[in-house]
Amino acid sequence: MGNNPRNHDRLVLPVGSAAAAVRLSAVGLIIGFLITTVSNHWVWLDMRFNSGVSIPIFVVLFGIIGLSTGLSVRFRAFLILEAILLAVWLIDYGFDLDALLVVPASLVRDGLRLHTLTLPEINLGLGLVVLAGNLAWLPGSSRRTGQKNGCRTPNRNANGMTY
Amino acid sequence: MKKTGFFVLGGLLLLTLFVCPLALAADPGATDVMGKLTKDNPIIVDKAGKTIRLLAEVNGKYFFQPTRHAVVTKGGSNGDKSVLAAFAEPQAFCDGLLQIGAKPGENMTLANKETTRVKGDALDVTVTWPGAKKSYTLDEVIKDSNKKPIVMRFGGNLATAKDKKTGCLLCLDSCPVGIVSNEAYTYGAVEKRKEVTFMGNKDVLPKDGTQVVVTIKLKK
Repeated sequence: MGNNPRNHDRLVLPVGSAAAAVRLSAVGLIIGFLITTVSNHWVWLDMRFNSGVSIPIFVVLFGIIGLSTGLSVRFRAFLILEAILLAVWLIDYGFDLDALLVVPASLVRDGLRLHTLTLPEINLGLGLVVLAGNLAWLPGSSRRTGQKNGCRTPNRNANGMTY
Repeated sequence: MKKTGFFVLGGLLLLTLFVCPLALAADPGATDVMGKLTKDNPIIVDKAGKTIRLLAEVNGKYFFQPTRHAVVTKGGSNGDKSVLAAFAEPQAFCDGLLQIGAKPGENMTLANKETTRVKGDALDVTVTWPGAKKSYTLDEVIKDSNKKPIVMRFGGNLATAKDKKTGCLLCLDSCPVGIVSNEAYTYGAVEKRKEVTFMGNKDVLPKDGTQVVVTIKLKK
């Protein structure tokens, strides 16, 4: 395939593809956050269960699905998920910047048991992870794969590699 | 081009939300307030003054969400669920209260918790920290939605506390596990019957992670 000039702009990745794993992990992060945020409203549950655990569970679960199946999600769908999460936070906390800087980070801190880190450090890490999640849509655009960048199974070449 | 704009905008929006200012520098007056309290020495019992001083950290999450825990030991299963996370264990706290002459109520059980108010000697609880203008009462640092005064009493409950391993030191409703709890409400007032919500007062308490000193004094 390397001799075929038409393949030069294709990104060749192992089965399932790391890019798909990163993209789905990013989706898992947002879904985990949504579930954690909503479940936090139930005080009884919050007092008995570390709801922040949903975040790493969904990141890992979706990452594994992405790695093993190569399933991808449209970037627009990811943006809509991010917008929904933002809307939920704004409904919960309004435009109280203090709350927006404290609650999501403390959910991550509790979920990952990161008690040695400060909330600003967690916020910084979280911001970079979310940015990386957004950037993960760059390499696999529809122009490169030759098909719509929708929810799809991976294209495979003769060697079983996906692109 | 349109897509690139989309993800850059989305990323920047989230990055702006997540990234916040760096931690403030340490207060030079810290040692005055903290005295000999450290993470390795998180409780000081003053028998003559009938007071106990606990080292604790502010949990900013409960400035914005309700909780039923005022002070819980960090290592306990409820260590993330309180407005203030202490470093002292329930055993040391209970022993300290006995040493200053406080008498436990020992009237709360898992069976009667929803119909019984905690008994035992009443305690004054105040909170201060380096840079604070004064020592604040628990009523000032924790907001009760009903604006009812918090009445902390020495319930005892050490055996149950050791069995449950929750780390609960001061609870905001009468509790069969917490060493000290609030007589003003029976168990279930926060979680089950929704009679009240308690939240840390962000207008009074310092930011998340700040070390504070909780002083418990036997009322006479």
